[in-house]
Amino acid sequence: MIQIGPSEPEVDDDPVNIAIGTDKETASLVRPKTRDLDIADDAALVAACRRGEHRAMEALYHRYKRRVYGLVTRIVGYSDADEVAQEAFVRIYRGLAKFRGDSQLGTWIYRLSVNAALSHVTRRQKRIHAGEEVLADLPAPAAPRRDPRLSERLEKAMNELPPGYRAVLVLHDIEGLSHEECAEIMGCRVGTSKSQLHKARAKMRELLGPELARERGGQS
Amino acid sequence: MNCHDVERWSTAYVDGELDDRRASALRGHLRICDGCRARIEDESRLLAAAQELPPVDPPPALWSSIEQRIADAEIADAERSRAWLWWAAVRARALPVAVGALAVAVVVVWLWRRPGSPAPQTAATEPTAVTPAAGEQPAVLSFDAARRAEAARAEARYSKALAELRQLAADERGTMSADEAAELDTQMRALEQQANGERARLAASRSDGATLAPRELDRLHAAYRGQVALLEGAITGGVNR
Repeated sequence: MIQIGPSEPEVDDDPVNIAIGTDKETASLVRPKTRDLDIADDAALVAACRRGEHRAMEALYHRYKRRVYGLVTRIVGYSDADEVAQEAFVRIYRGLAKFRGDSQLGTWIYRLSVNAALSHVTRRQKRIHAGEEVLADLPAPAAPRRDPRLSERLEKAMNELPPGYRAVLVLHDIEGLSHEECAEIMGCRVGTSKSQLHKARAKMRELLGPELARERGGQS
Repeated sequence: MNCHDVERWSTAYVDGELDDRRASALRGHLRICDGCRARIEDESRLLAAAQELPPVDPPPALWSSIEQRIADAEIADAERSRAWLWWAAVRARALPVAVGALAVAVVVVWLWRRPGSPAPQTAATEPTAVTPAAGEQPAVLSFDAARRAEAARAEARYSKALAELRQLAADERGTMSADEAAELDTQMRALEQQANGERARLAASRSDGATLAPRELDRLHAAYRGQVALLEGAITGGVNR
């Protein structure tokens, strides 16, 4: 199976993140009995999720939560990331009935997540253009990061890119996907993915010009 | 290799996707061009920084929010009609079947309408072979028979319209000069001869049992339309007068 994205544990076992719903519709609802489930097997996981098995749905969430959340955060920004990640996961669970296995499960999940994020950006831009939501222009609140100096500069510049450029930059440079995978996710040709990335990096160099020049100066 | 080439190939070079020859030439250019070297260093630094970005952890409450939204969607499903639920269940299987059936139908119609293809030989599709009871219409017409019936209706409509227009033109003849009347007669004769010739050709063609080709009536109808236009012009005093 093609490894998608940077290496990370297959399932995040962080107990803090394994939150069980407390609502009566979610927590106490009788779900189909969980059969023997090999969560490493995509086909078995998908089949169990389709049957509505709670443990399988949760396993799928924990396997992909970082990738989906990281992807949508870097496309839509921190302020809207929760909403869009929820939307992406709902599309994933509700769309599993249509998943035929023509592509890798990870690629399919990325595609739905990118689509959810780009749709959100498009809707947000329309609202801004219509003058209905001036607040949307405000910068996203800062989130805690491990390396604020480096990541802040880079992520701030990424927010200046057009959404399409941003998506391919995130998929290729941050998530580490190949152009073939990017093209499949974005629904475009491989050449288009390469061309978009080239333009995205050129724009990033332009946006980060002074910082890059300082780093060059510091090295020499 | 020049600066323009470096601009073009920089992304592929930094990603290690440039072929060996071009990569070597590009490196050679970088040794003598400070601007391009800075450009490649910048792009490489950007890529390294992007790869080092830390993963973004979702908030702990995200899963329960997702579960809640799935629950909302399932409750919405419960309120849908049985017909909607049935259609949602079968549409994935129904769509390929529908597309296949449509493709077969298109091929069958195309084969049927193809010029020179033999007329269907079944009794149901050959109305002339079956005499319907008085007051009854044949239940099914072949495509060719339907085209012939439509052609006959068009012929009747043109005949009726031309007869009315000829009568009106005759009434207007008194207002025309001798030259205009002669010109009208000349042009009408030419168009009538054209129509007669086409009718004769079609009759000969039908006697051979051939089907009616899709564009076969075009010239006959063009001759009729010419007559209609000529007579309308004569009546209104605007055309050829």
